[in-house]
Amino acid sequence: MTSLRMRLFALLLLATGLIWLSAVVWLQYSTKAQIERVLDSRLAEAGHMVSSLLSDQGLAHAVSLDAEGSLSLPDFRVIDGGIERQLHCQVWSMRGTLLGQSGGGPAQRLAQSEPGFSASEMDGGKWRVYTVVNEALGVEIVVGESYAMRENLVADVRAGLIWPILVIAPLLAAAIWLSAGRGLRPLQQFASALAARDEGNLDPVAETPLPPEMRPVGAALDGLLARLAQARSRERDFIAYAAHELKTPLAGIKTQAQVARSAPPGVVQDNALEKLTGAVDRTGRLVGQLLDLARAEDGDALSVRSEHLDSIARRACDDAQDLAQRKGVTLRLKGSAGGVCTDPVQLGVALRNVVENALHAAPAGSVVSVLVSDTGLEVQDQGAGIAADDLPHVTQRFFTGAGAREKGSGLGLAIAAAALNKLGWRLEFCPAQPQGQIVRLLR
Amino acid sequence: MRILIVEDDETLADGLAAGLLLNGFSTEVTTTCADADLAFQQGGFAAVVLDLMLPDESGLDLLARWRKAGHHIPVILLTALDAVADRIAGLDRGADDYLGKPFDLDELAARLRAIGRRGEGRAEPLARYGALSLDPAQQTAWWGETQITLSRREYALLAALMDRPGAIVARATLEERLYGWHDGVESNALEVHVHKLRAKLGPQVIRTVRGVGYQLQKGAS
Repeated sequence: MTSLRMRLFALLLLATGLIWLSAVVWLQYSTKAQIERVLDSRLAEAGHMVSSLLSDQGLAHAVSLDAEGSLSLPDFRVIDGGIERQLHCQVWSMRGTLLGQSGGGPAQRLAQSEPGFSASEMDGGKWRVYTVVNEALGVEIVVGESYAMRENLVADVRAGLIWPILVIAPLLAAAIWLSAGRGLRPLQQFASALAARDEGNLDPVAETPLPPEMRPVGAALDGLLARLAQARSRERDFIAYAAHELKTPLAGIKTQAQVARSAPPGVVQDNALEKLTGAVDRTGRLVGQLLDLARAEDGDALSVRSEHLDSIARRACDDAQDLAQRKGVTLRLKGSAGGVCTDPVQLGVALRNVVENALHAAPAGSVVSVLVSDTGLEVQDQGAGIAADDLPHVTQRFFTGAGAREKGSGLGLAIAAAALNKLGWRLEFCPAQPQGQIVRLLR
Repeated sequence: MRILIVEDDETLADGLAAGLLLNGFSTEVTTTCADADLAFQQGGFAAVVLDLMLPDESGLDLLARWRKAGHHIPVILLTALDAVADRIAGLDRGADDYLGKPFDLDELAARLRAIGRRGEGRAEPLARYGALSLDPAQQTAWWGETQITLSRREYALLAALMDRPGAIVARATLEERLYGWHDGVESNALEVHVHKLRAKLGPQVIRTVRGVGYQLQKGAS
C-alpha cells in the first residue's frame, strides 16, 4: 500500500489540477466570447465610421462619377489596448462595383450578405464581416477582419493563463507535499511513540491527546493493550503461583535429602529416602499437570484424528487405574459408544483430570464410575462432594477446597475446564444421591 | 530446644522434624493454623517454624494474632514467596527471620540456634552451665577446656537437660528426644545413655531424681 502522504499528495494534486484545468477551459471560452463581442462591436463601429466619413466628405459625388478605384481609403490599422489589428474595408456601389478598398485585403467582395454581421471564407482565410448600407450615397460599406487575428488574441489570453500555471504548479506541488506531511505529523508522532515503547509498557496510548480521526484507532489499541496487560498479569500470577507450588515440594525434597545424608543408616534414613522418592514423583506429576494446563490453554488442536468417546474414556480410565488401585477405589466404565470427538487428546486430558480428581475425593472401597453417552461424559464419585461455597472456584488454578480429603495441586479441574473450553465443551457439576459428586463433560 | 513446626506439605514437615531432631532439637508438627494455635497454647516451645500458605489461613495472620496477644516467641517464616517485598511484609508482621523455599536444613538449624541464644540473652554460640558448655553447632560438649566427643543421642540428651539447666527434666521429655529418632528404644535406653554421659562427664553432673527424671548439676572444672 502506498504511503498516506503519497496518496494525499497525488489526490490533492489531481484535484487541484482538474479544478485548474476546468477553470482554464471555462476562462478561455468566456474570454473568447467576450473578445468576439468586443471586436464585433468595434467592427460595426468601424463600418459606421467609414459610412459617416463618406457622407460627411460628400463623396456621393465621387461615387456617382463611377470612377473605379478613385476612392482611396486609408489603412485600417487599429491600435487597441496595445494589440495591433488589421481591419479591411471595401466600399461597393449598389450596382456591385468596387468603389474603393483599404490596402492589404482580398480583391473579392468580403461578403455578399445582408447588412449586419456575417462570416465568409476566401483566400484560404475566414473573415468576420460587417456590412453597412449607406442609402444616401447608394453604397455598401463592408468591413472585415480575419478570424486568424482574433484567434491570435485568444491564444495570447490563453498563454497568459497557462504560463503562470506552469510556473506555479511545481510550487503548488511542493506546498501540497509539505502540507500533507505536516497534516500527517500526529500520525507519525503516534507511530514513533509506539515504536519507542519497550515491551513492558502497556499503558493506554490515548493518554496523550489524539486528533479525533485517530481516536478510534487509539481506543481500539487501548482495548488490545488492556487485554494484553490482563493476560500478562494472569500469566505472571500463574508463574508466581506455579513457582510457589513447585518450591514447597522442592524444599521437602531438599530437606529429606539432607536428612538422608546426615542420618545414620537405619529407619530415619530409609524413611527420608522413601519420602524423597514420593516427593519427586509428586513434583513430577505437578510439572506434568502444569504442562497439561499450558497445552490446554494454548488452544492448538493436539491431534487431528477423530475418535469415539468410549475409546477416549477407556484410555483415560486405564491411565487412572494405578491411582485407583492405590486408593482402593473401583473405577468403572459404562455406557454407549458415544459420539465422535475431533480432538481426543484434549478431551482425554480433561477426562483424566476429572477422574483423578474424583479418585482423590473418593473414600477407599467406593466406586468411581465413568458414563459415556451421546451428549458427553459423566464422572461420579461417592466422596464428600464439592462444598457449595467452593463451586464457583473449583476451576480456578491452584484452588483446593477447604474440605478436600487430601491436598491436591488444585490444577486438575482448571486443566479440565481449560481443555473443554478449547473444545467448545463445558463442565457441569451436580451433587450425587445419596452422596458424592457428579461432574459432566458436555458438548 | 523444642520447636513448633507449622507446615502443611507432608514431605517437608516430616523432613523438618527428622532434620531438626538430627540437629539436636525436639519438634512438634502441625499442619494447620488452628492446630498450631492449640499446640502453642500448651507452651514449652523455644521457637516456631511457620509456613505462610496454610490450608485454613495465612501464617502471617496467625503470627500477627500471637504478637497482638503479647507472645514473644521467636518465629522463622518459611515460604516460597521470597521476593524482597514479601520478606519485608513477613518481618514487619512480627517474624524474627525469613527463609525462602527451598532452604538449607543446616541453615535453618543454625538460625534456630542463633534465635535460641538471643532468647536466652546470650550472644556466644556456646551454652554454659558451670564448667559444662555445649556447642550446638558442632554437637559437642566442653568440660572446662577439655572437648568431650558425644554421640548424637548423648548430645540430644545433654541438650535437653541444658535447655533448663538446674531444673528437673522429666523422663518423658528426655525419652521424647530419643524416641523422636523413630528407632526402637528399649525401656532402659535412657538409663544407658545417662550412664554413658556420666562416664564421659563425671558421675555427679547428672543427678537422678527417682521416679521423676534427671537434673543437671553445676560442677567445678
